[in-house]
Amino acid sequence: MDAFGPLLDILTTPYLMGLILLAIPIGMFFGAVPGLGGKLGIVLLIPFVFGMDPLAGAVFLLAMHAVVHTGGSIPSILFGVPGTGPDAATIVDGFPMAQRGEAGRALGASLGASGIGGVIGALFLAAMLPVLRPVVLAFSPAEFFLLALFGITFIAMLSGRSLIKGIAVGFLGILVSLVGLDPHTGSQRYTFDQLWLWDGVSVVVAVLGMFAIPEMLALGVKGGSISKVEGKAHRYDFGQVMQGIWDVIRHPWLTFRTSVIGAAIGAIPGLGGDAASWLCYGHAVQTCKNPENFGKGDVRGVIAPETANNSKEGGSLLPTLFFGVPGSSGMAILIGAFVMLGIQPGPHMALTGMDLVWSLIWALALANLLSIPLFLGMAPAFSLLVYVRGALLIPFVIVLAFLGSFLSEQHWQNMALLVGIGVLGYFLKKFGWPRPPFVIGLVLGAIAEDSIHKALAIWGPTFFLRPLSLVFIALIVLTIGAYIWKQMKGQVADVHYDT
Amino acid sequence: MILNARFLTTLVMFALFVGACILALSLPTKAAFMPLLIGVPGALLCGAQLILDLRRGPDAPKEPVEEAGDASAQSEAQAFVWLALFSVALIGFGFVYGGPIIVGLFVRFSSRDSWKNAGIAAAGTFIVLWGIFIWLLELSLFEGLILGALTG
Repeated sequence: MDAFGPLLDILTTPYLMGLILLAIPIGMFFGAVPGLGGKLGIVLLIPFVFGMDPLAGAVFLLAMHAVVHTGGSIPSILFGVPGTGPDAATIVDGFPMAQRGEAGRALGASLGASGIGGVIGALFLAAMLPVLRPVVLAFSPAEFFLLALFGITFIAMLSGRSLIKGIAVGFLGILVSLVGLDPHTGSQRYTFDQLWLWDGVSVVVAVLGMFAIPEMLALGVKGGSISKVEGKAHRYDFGQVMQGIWDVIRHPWLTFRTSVIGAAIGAIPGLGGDAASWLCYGHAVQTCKNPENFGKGDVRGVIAPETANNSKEGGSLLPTLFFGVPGSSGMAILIGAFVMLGIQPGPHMALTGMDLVWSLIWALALANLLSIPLFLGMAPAFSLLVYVRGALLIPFVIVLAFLGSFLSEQHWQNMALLVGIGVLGYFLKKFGWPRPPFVIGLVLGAIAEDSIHKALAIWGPTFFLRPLSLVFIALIVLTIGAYIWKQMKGQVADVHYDT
Repeated sequence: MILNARFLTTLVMFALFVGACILALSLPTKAAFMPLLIGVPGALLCGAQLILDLRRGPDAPKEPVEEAGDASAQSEAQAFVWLALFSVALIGFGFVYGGPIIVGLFVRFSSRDSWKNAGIAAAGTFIVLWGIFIWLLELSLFEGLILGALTG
C-alpha cells in the first residue's frame, strides 16, 4: 500500500493529473526543437513552478523531463537531425526508414519503445528501492564527504576533455555554496556585508546563470535556426504509426533488455543518455538476427536506443534522489529546481521522503504512458518545430531566466548575479570547461561541509580509514587513473553531457 | 604571452580560487576550514591549467561555441551588449514594462524582423508576464529600480 498510495493520490487528484498532461506536450516541444532539450526546459519552467506545492512542482518538472526524448525522435526520424544528443542513435536506422517511405512506422516504433522504456525505467527504480535503502543508511558523514568528492571527480571525467577543468569547476560550485553565514560560527563568509547574500547564493540563480544565459548567448552568436534543417519532412499516415507500435510488441525481449540496460546506465552518475542509447544500439546489433540490416533502416535499430533514452531517466533518479549526486546533467538542474521547491535530495529521503519518491516514480511511469496518445495527435505539428528560428526564442528565454532568478528569493540583486554567472558560464562553455560539475558542487557543498565537520568530530583526521571511506578513496583514485590512462591512449572523446 | 580569451578565462578561475583563499584567512578557523580545503586545490588546478594554456599557445582547438555567418548572427560583443540592455531594462523598469519593451526591440533590431512582429512579440511577453504571473499565479513581480523611484 505504501507504494500504491501515491499512485492513487495522483490518479484521483485532477490537479496533479492536469499538470502531468500539461507537462507532456511541453517536454515533447523541448525535445522536438533541436538544440533545446530537457535541461533548458527545466530551467525555463522554474519561474512557473515557483510557489507551487513541492509535490506538484516536482511531478510537473519530472513529467516534462521524462518525455523530452520521446519528442526528440521526431526530427531524428523525419529530418535526420537529432532533437537532443541521445537521439542521435535513432537516426542511424530511423532516417533511412523515413527515406524509403516508412517514416510513420519508425515514429510508431520510437513512440512505443519510448513509452514502454520509460515505464520499465520507473519500475527499475521501484525495484531498486529495497536494495538501496540499507546501502544509503549505512553511509556515515565520512562517506558522504567522500561521495561528494567522488561525484565531482566522476562527472568531471565524463563530461569533458579535461579532468582538471572539470574538477576545478566542481570545486568552484562548492565554493559558491559556502557563501553566506557559516552554520558553525555564524560568521559571514564571502557576503561582502550584503544582506541578500546571508542565506547564500540561490541554486536557481546559479543554474539559470550557468546554463540558460550561456546557451542564449551562444545561440545569438551562432544565429539562424537552431538546427540546420534542409528540405521537408517525410510524409506518413496513422496506419504506419500503429504498425511501428506493433513492431515494439513483436520484439518484447529486445525492448525489455534495452530498457533494463538503459536504466542501469542511467543509475551510474555521469554516463548520460548518449552512452545509454549507443550502448543499447550496439547491444541490439550484437544480439539480434540479421545484424547486416542495421544501419539500413531496421526497426530494431529504432527500438533499442529509444527504449534506453527513456528508461535511463528512471535509473538517473536513483543517485539523484538518494545521494544528491545527479545521474545526468538534466538531473543536476532538476536537483536545483527540487531545492527551490523545498525538496532536498539526500539520504534522508530513504527515511522520510519515500512517499515523494513513490509519487515521482509513478509520475515518471504515467508521463511515459500518457505520452503515447498525446504524441499520436501532436506529432505532425511537432515536426514543424525544427524550423523555429533561434533568434525568436532568445529574448523570451532571457526574460524568463531573469524572472526565475528574481522569484527564487525576491531579491533584485539576484538578477545582477545571474548576469555575472551567465557571462562566466558562457566563457566556460566556449573554452571547454564542463558546467554540470558546478551544479553538483553547488548542491553537495553544504552536505560535504557538514559531513566533514561531523566526521572530524567523531573520528578525527583518521576518518578516511573507515572501510567504506577507503572504497570511495579507491574509486576516486581509479577514476583519475582511468582518465590518465585514456589520455595516454588518446581515447578521451567529446561527449554531449555538457551540450 | 598569450593574453587571449581562453587564457583570461583560466586566469579568472584562478583569481576566484586565490581570492577565496585570501578572504578565508580572515575568517574563524572553523569557518575557514572548508573554503581552504577546496580553495587551495582549486587554485592549484587552475594554476596547472594556466601553465597548460601557456604551453598550448595560440593554436588552440576549435571552440565549442559555433559562429555562423548568416544574417541574424551577432558578434560576441553584440550579444553581450544585448545582455546588458536586457539587464538595464529589467532591473531598471521591471518585468511588466521593461520586459515587453526590450523583447520588442530585440525582435526588431537584432532579429531584423518587422515592427509588426516586434509588436506581437512584445504583446505576447506582456500577456505572459501579466496574465500568467500576476493575474493567474498572483505573484508580485519586480517593478524596477528606476520606475520604482519615479512612482515612489
